[in-house]
Amino acid sequence: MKVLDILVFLLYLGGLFFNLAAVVGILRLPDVYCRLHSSSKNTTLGSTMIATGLALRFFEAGQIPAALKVFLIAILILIIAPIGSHALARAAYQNGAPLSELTVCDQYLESLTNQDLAGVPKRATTSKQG
Amino acid sequence: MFLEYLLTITLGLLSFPLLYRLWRGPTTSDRLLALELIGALGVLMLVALSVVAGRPIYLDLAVLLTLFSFLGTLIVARYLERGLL
Repeated sequence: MKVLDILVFLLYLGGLFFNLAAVVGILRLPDVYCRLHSSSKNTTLGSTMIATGLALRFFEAGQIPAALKVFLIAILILIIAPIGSHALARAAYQNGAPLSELTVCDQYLESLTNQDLAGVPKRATTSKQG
Repeated sequence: MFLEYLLTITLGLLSFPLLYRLWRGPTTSDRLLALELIGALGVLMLVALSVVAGRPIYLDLAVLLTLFSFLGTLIVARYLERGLL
């Protein structure tokens, strides 16, 4: 009982730390893609940790179906958050969101063929060659 | 139970700075990203509040909110990418 309480507390603390890191990254980073990089990984791990802690709390109270439902939410977040971030990054690139001035290379642009390039609009800040 | 109450309040406070990015994001993708993160924090707040209230029936709402927030993100991303729904 006591060990489970400490484990739940540690899970809450870790999840809040990762969510705070995601929020700070979204506010501070210069670029859509950097913000996506910050938010997708941190939100996936932090939300899964908090949901696991809440499921353990339901499990401790003896409500097994509710605990399974919260585990379902944790697994859904674990699958859904990276897919949404991937779709959002691709949409931002195709929509012509500007790259930051600090960008070193753009491998997605190099991998596109000329046929694909017809649909991609010009970027406001071009990346340096190399 | 007190711990979950504190967790709910902290998650709510975390979603306030995201409103700045939602208000003044340079691009539409920034706004969509902030909205997605606010939705994820809201799901966690719903689950924590169901622990506080001791009512597991609230969890159905959290599952539905997760699925429909994902669906909305995918649809708006597709609209941004191709210009049609």
